Amino acid sequence: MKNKETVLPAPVLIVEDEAMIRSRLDLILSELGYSQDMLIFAKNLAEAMQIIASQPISLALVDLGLPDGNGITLIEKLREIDESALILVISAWSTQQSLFASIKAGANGYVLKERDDAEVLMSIRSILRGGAPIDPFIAREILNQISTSNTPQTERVEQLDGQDYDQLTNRETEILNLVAQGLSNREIAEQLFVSRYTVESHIKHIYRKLSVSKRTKAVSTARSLGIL
Amino acid sequence: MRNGWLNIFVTLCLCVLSFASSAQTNFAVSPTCKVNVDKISAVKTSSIDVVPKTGWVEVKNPDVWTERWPHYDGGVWYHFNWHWSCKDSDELKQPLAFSVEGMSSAGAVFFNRNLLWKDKHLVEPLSKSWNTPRFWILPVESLKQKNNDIWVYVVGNSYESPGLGNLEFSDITTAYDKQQKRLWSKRALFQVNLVISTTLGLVCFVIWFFRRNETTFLWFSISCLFWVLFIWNVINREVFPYPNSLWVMKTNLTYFVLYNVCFCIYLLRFVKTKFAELEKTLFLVAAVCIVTILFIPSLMVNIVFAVIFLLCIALFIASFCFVIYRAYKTKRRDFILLAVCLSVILIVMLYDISILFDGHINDHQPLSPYTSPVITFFIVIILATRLDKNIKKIQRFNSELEQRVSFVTSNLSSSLYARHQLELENVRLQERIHLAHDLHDGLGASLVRSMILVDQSSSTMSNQQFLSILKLLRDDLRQIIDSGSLTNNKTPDNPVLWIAPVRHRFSQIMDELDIEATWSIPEAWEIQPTALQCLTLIRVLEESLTNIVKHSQARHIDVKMYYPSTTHLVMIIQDDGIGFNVECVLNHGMGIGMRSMKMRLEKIGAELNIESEKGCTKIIASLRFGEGESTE
Repeated sequence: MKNKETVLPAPVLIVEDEAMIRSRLDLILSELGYSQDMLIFAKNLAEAMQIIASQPISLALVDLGLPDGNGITLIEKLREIDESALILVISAWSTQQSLFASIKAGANGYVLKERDDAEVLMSIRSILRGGAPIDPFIAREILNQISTSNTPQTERVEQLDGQDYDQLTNRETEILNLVAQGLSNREIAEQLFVSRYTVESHIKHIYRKLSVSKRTKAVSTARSLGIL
Repeated sequence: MRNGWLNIFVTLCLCVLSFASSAQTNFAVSPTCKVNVDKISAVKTSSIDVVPKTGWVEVKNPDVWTERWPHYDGGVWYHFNWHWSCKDSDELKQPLAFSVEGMSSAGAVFFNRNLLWKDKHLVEPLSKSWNTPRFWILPVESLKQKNNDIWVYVVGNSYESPGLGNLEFSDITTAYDKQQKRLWSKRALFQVNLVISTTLGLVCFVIWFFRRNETTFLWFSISCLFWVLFIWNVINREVFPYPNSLWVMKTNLTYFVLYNVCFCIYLLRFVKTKFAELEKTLFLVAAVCIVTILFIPSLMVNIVFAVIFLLCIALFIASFCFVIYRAYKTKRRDFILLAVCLSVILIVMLYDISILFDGHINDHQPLSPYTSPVITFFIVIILATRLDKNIKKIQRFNSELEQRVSFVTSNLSSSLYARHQLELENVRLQERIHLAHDLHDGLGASLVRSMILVDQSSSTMSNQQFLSILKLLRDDLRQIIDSGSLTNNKTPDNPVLWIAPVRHRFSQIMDELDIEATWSIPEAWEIQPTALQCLTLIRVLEESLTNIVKHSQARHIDVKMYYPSTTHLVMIIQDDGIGFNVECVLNHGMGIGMRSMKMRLEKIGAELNIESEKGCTKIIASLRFGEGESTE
């Protein structure tokens, strides 16, 4: 792995309760070129909240299952404070639904803790590059909600999010469909005769439409999805 | 109604006694003029057409001839000889009127040999004029100063107190007023009685008809029926529909007996008592009475009828006493009310009788007919209180019912909730069992294999080897979790979606590493593998791709899945990497992952073939359906 990035976004907030995983992430970040003074560690939600309140954060690696609460709360808060902060969820044992919820709360991507170091590193790098990680499950979930909000007989007529999804363009829907089938961004780009970056920007658009800045809206969204 | 027996008493008294008022011979017809009856005489006659010359006897008015001629049935002529006179030789300016209270049972009236009025039937079946007052006007022109004659022909039977009622002279206005009074007390009152009884009887009958167990109402309506039949006789002017007067009397008394019995039973039922034996006896006695009444010869009618009549009265008084006793015992309001009613009847009856026997009874108005509407009113009150009580009971019951229903409903909902909880629990349990099963078959088997591998390893294993064993276990676990949480242990809808998560994950990695991949996956299942087969195949794919990405340095990967035949599924993973020694990997513990996969595939009835040379390595998993499925 060659590290070609010249400017690394700093500081990086690492929210993780387990010491071993913290040191693992420390190692991975060092491999990416980060030095110790750029890293801020938080053991729980309260600490993390304090940190984001006191200083701006460029990149946050957030665990969802924290001893004193859910990481999603932190993601929402951080997203509220800073529109452009990069947030990656590094989850140990979470359902895919809660990962989806974290995407909706404003996370840029997620990776499972159990993955090999190389894969975790790859995810971080992809985030740093400004990529928009998406996986088949998330794509399917979004597509499902579009179809339910488009079907007139369903009871979710008044759902705001449904209206948000309605605003997805045909191209965006097409991309989601391909993602749901497991195609990589490059494959999608090849299939649609566009550049990889165009695909990524489309996905980022979809995410922006998905993401909700206000906490109340997030809660209602989460409820309607059956996550909370 | 209740005072019925009293009415009959009065009626009979009227029959027997009312004609016995004191004889009067002077009648004032105006302030100054008067009529003097000089002589009243009577004679037996065989028909209205014959006026005997001899046999005349002087009589008084009113007259009942059985005192004189016992057991005489037939016609009698009454002759009134009279004159009028005025003080100070005044002239009679206004016409006279004379009235007849009644005659038993039919007759005709002549004035100075001219017929004034005649009953319809003067031979059996006779008309019945005994309870019909009449009056006639005599114009001044038709009057003589002296020797005016009024002839009254009366035909009757010895058993019905035959004779002529009061015959009186007066001025027209007085006569008219008196007539109105008499019509009211002798006819209208009974008609009112009739209407009220009929109405109440019908109402009670209908109530009973819809509520068959309320026999009180039935008995009351039956007693009403007999009372109506009985009263009908009082105002009926003709014998019809009975063959003759005797039968009228017999049936009438029969009705009276039946009425009394029914009324008694009604009273007993009303005070909530039922003496089966007593009632039987009562019916028996009534039957005997009725038979006696129907078959008695006319000679003995009077005495027998009197006895039966007294029996009825005794029965009434006995039941009255019992009602009072019950009312006193139970202190129930409606019983007390009933007792009060009956007492009022009894008192009025006694009053009437005392007046009758007192002698001053000329046109005395008996009070008893008036009790009927009053008693009716009391009955209505009693019925109303009963109804009110019942409705209150129903309302109470309703509220109780409501409470019970809500209680039962809450019970039901809680039990339903418990059942729902139980079902949920069951589903959860099922899922757990599934998960445990999957863990046992997947992770557990891997674990056991890894243990055997470590155990049988001839040399000490390197960290790297341990790590790969652990990673294998980890990937197994992840697949079990994903397949479990994602699809609820069902195979995915189509192969593309099934492969998608793995494809996505590795596409990202391969993108990163600049490895080109081609995927060729069928759009739909031709034969759907079981969940375990899916899991195993996806693990093989995952493991192969992991190896390729890690070790092969390949630039191009080709993943292909197809159905060579309808019972055969093949998955080929091909790369252009450096290749490896197949022998070595499979047999000498080099690639723990691939060996594990091979064993696993064999377990689900599939086989794994690996061909490898530099630039072309093929991993072929081939699953034949209908063979290995049962070996699980």
